[in-house]
Amino acid sequence: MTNQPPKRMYSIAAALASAALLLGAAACGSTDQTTDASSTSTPGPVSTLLPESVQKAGILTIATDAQLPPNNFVGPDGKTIIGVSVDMGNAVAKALGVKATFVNTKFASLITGLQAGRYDIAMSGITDTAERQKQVDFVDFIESGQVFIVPKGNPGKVDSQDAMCGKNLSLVTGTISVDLAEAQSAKCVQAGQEQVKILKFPTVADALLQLTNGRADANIANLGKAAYQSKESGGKLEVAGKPFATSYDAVAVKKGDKEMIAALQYGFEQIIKDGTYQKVLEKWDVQDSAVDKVVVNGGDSLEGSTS
Amino acid sequence: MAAQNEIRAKPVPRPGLWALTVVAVLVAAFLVWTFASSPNVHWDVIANYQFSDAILQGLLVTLKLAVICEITGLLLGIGLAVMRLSSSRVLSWLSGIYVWVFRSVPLLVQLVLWFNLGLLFPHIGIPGTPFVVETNDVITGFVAAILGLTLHEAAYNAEIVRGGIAAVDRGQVEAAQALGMNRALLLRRVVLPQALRVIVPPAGNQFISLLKNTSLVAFIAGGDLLSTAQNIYSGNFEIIALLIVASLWYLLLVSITSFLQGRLERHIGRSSAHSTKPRRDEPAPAAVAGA
Repeated sequence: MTNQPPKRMYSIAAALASAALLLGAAACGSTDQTTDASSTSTPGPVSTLLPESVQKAGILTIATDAQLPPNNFVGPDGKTIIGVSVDMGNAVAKALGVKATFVNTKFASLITGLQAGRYDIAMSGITDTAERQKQVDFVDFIESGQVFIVPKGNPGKVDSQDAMCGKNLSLVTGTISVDLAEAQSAKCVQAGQEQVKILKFPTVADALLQLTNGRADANIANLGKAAYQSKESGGKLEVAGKPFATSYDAVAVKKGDKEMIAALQYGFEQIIKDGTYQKVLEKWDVQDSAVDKVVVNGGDSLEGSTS
Repeated sequence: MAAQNEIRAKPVPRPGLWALTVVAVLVAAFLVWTFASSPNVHWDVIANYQFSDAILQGLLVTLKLAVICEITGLLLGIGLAVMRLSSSRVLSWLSGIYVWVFRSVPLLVQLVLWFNLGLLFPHIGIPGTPFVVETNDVITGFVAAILGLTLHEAAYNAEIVRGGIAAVDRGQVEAAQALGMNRALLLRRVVLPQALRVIVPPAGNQFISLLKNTSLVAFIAGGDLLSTAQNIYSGNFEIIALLIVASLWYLLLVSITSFLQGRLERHIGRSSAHSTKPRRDEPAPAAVAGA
């Protein structure tokens, strides 16, 4: 059990919040009205599959970079982290009989913190790639293709990978989109066309601003993120193209942490079986990204993987 | 000279100092060894990327930005400092307001604002004439970076230069005025050469911080050294290794800067009575006394 006060405070807050939700649910006489799927019933016994330290603490510490809607982002109150990762993390934790605590961390510390044992797992819309598997292990739980986010009316006419030649793409550093655009750029040059002009930004917001700004023609994101962003943009942005380069979004686990991987697989199995998994995806409008079964390090088996 | 008059002074033994020196060296060696031999520091990856094209490209951008913005920022800063100290109230206020604004607004905000100027003004130029251009064509990432960094540096340099000028003794100015020098000549011949001695150390410091501030251009797709390293590590998750790659380059750049700064300081301070260190070739004052 760690003695970090913030963690403890979070867990107390989480406990209070879920208690309140439980009361609310009981008062309504129905569990369907609460939005947080994880808090609708008391957690079962702590799963013995989990690493001992997590079992003892009763808390699964999850690192996330809260600037990636709809996966993980700060909610309308300006402080609570919400999103697919959060609901999914809560659901899995509950299935394993523990509480999930989310820590908002920047990308670099997400992975180093995982490696240093500061966090138990990282859930941040991370794409599983063969290259990254050298550093961490992945439990893949969302499968989705990439599409283009373009300004309204698609003035740059970017609706397929080949249409990217000579166009300005504003992308988010560290996402699979950069690899895809670079690979396409090489293809463009080979075919005697202009290369893809790639601008890289640290956050989604910075990258998408360039679309409204008129500096870039398109952004690449997976279907769920693209749909969310275009909806949130109030008509300034839209989705273009058919999904391509299917990839997995995954939970990142410290390399070789077999117990954690087994526990997560079990946890996901449970929530897929009882329907919580599908409910979370539906809540965020990404039900098309569902997997039948989570796989471990499956990233290199998909067409979108890069190495 | 009679030999028996010479004092053969024996240094006072200082066992505490020696012990401390040994401990300090051992601790330092231990830290270096621990770091260097850690299996978690992937030296092979570091060696792989240290001279890779992408990193060198980023290094070039960092260097270009730092050098260009140092020059423009310093020139603008000197101008602002002179304005600040001028006898015209209006000029002095304008300069004061500039420094107030550009020291207050975070550099990151400035960079993002300049880069996205096209959102506020899609076209810039004189309306109704052919001299109108698309803002996004003019304000490229590089131009936005130069603008933001220059304006930011100028504000800080203005304060450094103002401090240097203020440090020059009032009597010097009065003496020069008594000799009939006009303001420009007085500034060039008397004030600035003396002010430089006070200006160079903090200005060197400021340059080093500029060197590292260039990493903020990541927010405007700048592609400098640190953001290039970040781009690479976000793909392969070799975070510590790539950060070390970037740090080694920054270490080298700052070492060169510090060396040049030291040379410059000695050059400027050569005529000063209170230069910080006695030169090695000068005899120590104590030896002179014994002659």
